[in-house]
Amino acid sequence: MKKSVWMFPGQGAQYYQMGRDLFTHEPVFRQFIERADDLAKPLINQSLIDVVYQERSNRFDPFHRLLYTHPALFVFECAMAELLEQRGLRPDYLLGYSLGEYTCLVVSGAAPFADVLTAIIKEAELIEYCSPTGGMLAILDSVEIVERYKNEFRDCTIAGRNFERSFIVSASRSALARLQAFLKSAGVSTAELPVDYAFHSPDMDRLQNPRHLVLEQLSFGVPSIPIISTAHRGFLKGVSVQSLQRATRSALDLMETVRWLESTGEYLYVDLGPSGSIATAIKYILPKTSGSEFVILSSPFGHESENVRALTQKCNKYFGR
Amino acid sequence: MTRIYLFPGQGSQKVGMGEGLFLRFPAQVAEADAILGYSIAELCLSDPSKQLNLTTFTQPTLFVVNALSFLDRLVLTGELPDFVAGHSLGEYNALFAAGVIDFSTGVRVVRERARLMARESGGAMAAVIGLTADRIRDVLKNANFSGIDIANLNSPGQTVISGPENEIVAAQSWLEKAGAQLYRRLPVSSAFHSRYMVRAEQDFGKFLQSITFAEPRIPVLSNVSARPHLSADLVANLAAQITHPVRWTESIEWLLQKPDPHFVEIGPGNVLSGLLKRIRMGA
Repeated sequence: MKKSVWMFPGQGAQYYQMGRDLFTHEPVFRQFIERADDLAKPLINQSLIDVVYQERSNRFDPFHRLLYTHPALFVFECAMAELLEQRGLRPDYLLGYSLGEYTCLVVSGAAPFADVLTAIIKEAELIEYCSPTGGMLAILDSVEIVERYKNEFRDCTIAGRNFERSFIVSASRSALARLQAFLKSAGVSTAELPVDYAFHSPDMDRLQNPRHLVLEQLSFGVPSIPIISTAHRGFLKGVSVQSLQRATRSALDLMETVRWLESTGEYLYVDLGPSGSIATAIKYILPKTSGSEFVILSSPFGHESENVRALTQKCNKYFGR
Repeated sequence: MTRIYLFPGQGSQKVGMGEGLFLRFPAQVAEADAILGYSIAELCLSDPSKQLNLTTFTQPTLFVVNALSFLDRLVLTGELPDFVAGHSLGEYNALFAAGVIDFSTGVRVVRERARLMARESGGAMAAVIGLTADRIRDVLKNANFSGIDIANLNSPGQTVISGPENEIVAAQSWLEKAGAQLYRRLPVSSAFHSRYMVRAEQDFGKFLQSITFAEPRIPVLSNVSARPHLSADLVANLAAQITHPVRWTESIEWLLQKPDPHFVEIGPGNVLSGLLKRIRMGA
């Protein structure tokens, strides 16, 4: 039987109305989010439920204000994990991508949900006060073009590699605009991420000390489920202030991480994020010969409840229930 | 509950302020040091050249300590305020807390403000306790002190006046005779928040044209209007603050109308907490 990997994405995966179907139809999901909202509201003076689920004229407006996206994305992922667990599903491994490593802390039992939520809110606040604004660009080409167009990429940092023909760079807004214009003329497709900061780049260095002060307030236990980090490109030996600093500052490599994992067996990759972005990348990473499968539970197209039901049935079949 | 953060201004500085903060925020301290050209930590902790009470040094230093105190508050509690206000220089910390200016912009703006204000030397200031501002105005008018302006309306019974040194010296006996319980000269050599700052106001207004201001994420009370800043008037208002009285009492009274207001003073000392108590008592 295949081992299951629950995967948690980071900044960029969020959008308004994410998880609306589950919020409406799944009390477990809804109650989890309501509890989180009660914890977050006294700190940020705003209801995350209002921010995410209020009716707006254009639901496809980018959801980018970090103070809200940071906790909202984390809460979504934890609520999704809670829902699957309540349905009797258990992961063999957890995989964290950037902010998703914070979710892994909670799902693995290494730190309490409320404490990590508070830390994430503090981190978002401190980023807004300490880091220069910037952005991130997904580039649909091989990372080798960075070498080829050295001059055009000079002000950018490679933030992560997702699959053979997809990587992400971080930079200031003006540098990204220049790069995007150039890549367009060179026939390379790009997509801006809905973020206002150059994560995983030297622009985040002024945050390092404030974030350390926040993270050292957490007490870390031993994860009861092994955590795979895309920053570490393998299993984390333990969770610590350092592992979380690395999760948000180092370059990520999903491709190398999954290739390494594939060399150890066949897996059922389940994306617990709102947009299915990691599972989509995995589709491109998996070799044709791989026996692994991937599952997307949530996407802007909705039908989350149905997807959760289908996954539950599939796993019950595995277990012969 | 309405959470309100208050940032103190000149007068709250003291040697030793910021102790512990400088080690917690080394990158921000280094950034400020690089802009100012001296060590903030050394100035605050030991003040070896006796500069801390010179306006040119006081203002940027206090801005940095207030700003780091605010960041540390976030580190410890994560609680963002619903409203922010600052007394004179402290208004720039309120603007930082509202995301209107970033840290390095704040240091640069405050350094220029301090330079221009200190340039207009030759004036004096005094705090008058125990008389209402209206009563002070009457006494000064009847005694023909036409050169004195009201600089800070700190509480119903605490007002700071600004003017030429000879008039500030001479006004003491008149105001004491009229019932002032205390008349205390402030350790500054300029008449801040008065007509004598017009040149500073003009030059600072020009300087502010080069600064980019973001929309406030949190309402910021204006010293000039005692109401939240409006983005359209921000630059004119900040320049005018130098020649206008700080309407602190009205600012606090406006904030006290908010549901269940909780005030926290962010920065060295407790001057503003004392004023808050007086305003609540009507004194």
